[in-house]
Amino acid sequence: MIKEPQQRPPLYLLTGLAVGLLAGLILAWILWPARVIGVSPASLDEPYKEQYRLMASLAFAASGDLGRAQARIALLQDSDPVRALTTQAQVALANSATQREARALAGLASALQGFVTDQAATAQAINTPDLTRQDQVSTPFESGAESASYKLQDQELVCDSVDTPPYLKIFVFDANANPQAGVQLVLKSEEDTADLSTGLHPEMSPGYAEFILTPRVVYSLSINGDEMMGGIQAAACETESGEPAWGSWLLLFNAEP
Amino acid sequence: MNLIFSNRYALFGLAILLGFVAAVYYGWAARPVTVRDAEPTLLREDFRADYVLMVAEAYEADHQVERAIGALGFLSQDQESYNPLVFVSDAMAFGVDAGYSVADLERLQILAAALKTFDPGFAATPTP
Repeated sequence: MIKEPQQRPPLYLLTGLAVGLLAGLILAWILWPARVIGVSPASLDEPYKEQYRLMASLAFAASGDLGRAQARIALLQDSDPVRALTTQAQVALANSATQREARALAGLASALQGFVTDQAATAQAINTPDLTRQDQVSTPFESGAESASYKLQDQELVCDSVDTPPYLKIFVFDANANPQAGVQLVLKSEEDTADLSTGLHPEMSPGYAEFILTPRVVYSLSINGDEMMGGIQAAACETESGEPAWGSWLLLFNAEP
Repeated sequence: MNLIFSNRYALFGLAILLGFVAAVYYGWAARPVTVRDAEPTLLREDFRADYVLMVAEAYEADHQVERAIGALGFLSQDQESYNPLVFVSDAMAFGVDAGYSVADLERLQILAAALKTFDPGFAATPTP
């Protein structure tokens, strides 16, 4: 019986490929790596980062331009820029020859810390429901023309829980009181315009749309191009347990027959 | 038989070449070595120009040319001997193209004017 020669896989080809790959990678990554130019300050070696940080501080000390200094320091991508500046300032402070540098570094650290604290305080003041300011918050009012194709059926401020953001929840029904999907809604504020559509939350209702209101911003609402309501604003409320929370505005619209 | 062997050698060589070319492309273009601990000479042009602007801002306040020259040494490959005016001129050229404000361009000009009064063979103390 004559045995047919077995078809063997071309292992020599794979070996050749592996040898080539290995040699190529050694060349490209170790022996002759690509020369990278155009790096950012974040890629600098630590002593150079320190010099960059120092120059940003000295420039800030001279110009007082905090925004510019902040942008420059951000380029270094320090996990905690204020701490990095403070640490460097302390090192400079230990040397009598670098007192000016220490002052500049500490000055920028202090200014950045103040800025961060102010930002946090402002954000908290804006985003915390404040029941004492309720008299300054408008209640949504109808602004639609008589010819508008929808009519406000009901509006209500619902107070769910302290964790709920200030929602605007809109339900749109057709003339037969069936939920209506695909209705185009536009929420306008002085700064921005948001396009919404009913039907994107079928688990709620085909005629439902929602939007999270930004506190202290007043919105107006249009339905299919007709302006319907104005004075829509995030409103604080009190939960059943008496805690302040953001309420959700619930607006129900019916199509005119 | 010889033909088969020579074909095999040729294919083997071709496989090596293919792997080599693919690996070099991968190592140089697709995934070059990550830059860490880079030197300031590798900084992108806009960052270099902004660094020079920082020096110019600091100079505007203290009028210490020696300090400015020392700080500009940061950008030099050869920190023993360099001409700091070149960096300021480059930054000004970049600033004009990039639309720096008139105030910033003036700062750079003031620094350039101060540097011109110095001996070009000046060897600054390297920083940092």
